[in-house]
Amino acid sequence: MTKTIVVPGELISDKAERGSGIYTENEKTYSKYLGVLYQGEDTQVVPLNGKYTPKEGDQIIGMITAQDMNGYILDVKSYHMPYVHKRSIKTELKPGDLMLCQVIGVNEIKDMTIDIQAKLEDGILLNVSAKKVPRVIGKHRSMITLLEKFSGSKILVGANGNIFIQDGKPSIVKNALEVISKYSHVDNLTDKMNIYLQKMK
Amino acid sequence: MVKNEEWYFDQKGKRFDGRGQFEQRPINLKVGVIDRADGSAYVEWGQNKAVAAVYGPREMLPKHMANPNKATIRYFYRMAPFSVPDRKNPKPGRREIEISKVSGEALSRAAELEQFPNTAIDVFVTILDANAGTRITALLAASLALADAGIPMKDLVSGTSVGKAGGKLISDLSKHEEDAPDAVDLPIAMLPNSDEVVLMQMDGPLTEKEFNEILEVARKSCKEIKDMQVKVLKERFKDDFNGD
Repeated sequence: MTKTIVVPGELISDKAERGSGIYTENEKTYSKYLGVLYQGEDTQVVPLNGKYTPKEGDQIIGMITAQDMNGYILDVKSYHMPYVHKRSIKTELKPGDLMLCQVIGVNEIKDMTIDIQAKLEDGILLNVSAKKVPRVIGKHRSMITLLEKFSGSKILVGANGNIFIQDGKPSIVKNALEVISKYSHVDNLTDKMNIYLQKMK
Repeated sequence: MVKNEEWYFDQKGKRFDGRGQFEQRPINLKVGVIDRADGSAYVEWGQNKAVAAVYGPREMLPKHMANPNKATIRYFYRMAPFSVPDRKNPKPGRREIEISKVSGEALSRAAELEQFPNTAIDVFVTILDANAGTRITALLAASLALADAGIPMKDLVSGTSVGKAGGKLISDLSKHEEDAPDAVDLPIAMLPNSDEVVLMQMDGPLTEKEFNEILEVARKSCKEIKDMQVKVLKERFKDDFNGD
């Protein structure tokens, strides 16, 4: 399995291949994204940046941006803004509130239906690109455990890249997230973050 | 640089600013210059300077403008009031609206918009300093910003402006050459992989032979410029991280 950075339109292979993030033209394979190319059993290009693509069952964090007679509009950093009906929630909400939600349905134009699970209070909201969330979580949540250890905060990561932090020292988490976003393409990031955080202490 | 001089080539065949016949001005590219944009880029091409910011794909407002089959690219080419010697009225004029239209269409050929129905991709390009060839400078910046924003694209858009001044075909005209009495300006943008022309405008007459010759020159410099774009996009992910 080799990893390389590719740009849109870059030639990957001289024969037509199957996979994601690529396209074929005249029996040749090109990249579609600025991303990381994985060439193993199948070829795939994982984009390095981009908005959240909703998936059924994901837990996300959204902010209420507007309200009307019947419900609320949430900003979840995706392509569309989901709408929640008032009758499905018991409490009154106002713009600026942070909500923990679950995606319960996605249609063919990537518009989603969501279910509000809880209101998030007494904390701060940080964000990273949705495509970098797997790196923020780490293998078996190793990166979150590391960050919680060093900052003493409670960290809740939404699949859309919104991150909610309670207690402890949020500034450490904020700083660490910036480093993770910048070096998201590096191998063994958790080990390197461990060294980094120890140095910062 | 002396203004109002009526020569375009010296005895050695060099141009008035010391360049060769088909030599470009120095190009300097930068990606990721605006934190709050989804993607951004800065391009310096000789004296030209352009900043591009991409937002989206995001909800199209007003909603009736949305295309239910694909995303819409809204391209805003704007010149800063201080970008030209005389103050430019900040109100977008005929020229800016036209350039916005053709450049937006050029980008639409490269980006894969079918993935994001009903959305808008906003591209804002501001020209900070101008000296002929700004629409291509802007388009290069926009293309880099679009790639940086993680939008799927067939290819990067690269371009150059070619033309004629002082009776000879030249590439990358500067303002002095563009004002020549026999000047022809031919900005051209391509997708270098397929040689597909996505933007071409011409002011002034060229014979068919001249046109074919200059098109070949443009194609070659587009490929050179694409290599620079590829290099700058990859450069950001080059440095390794070892815990410091």
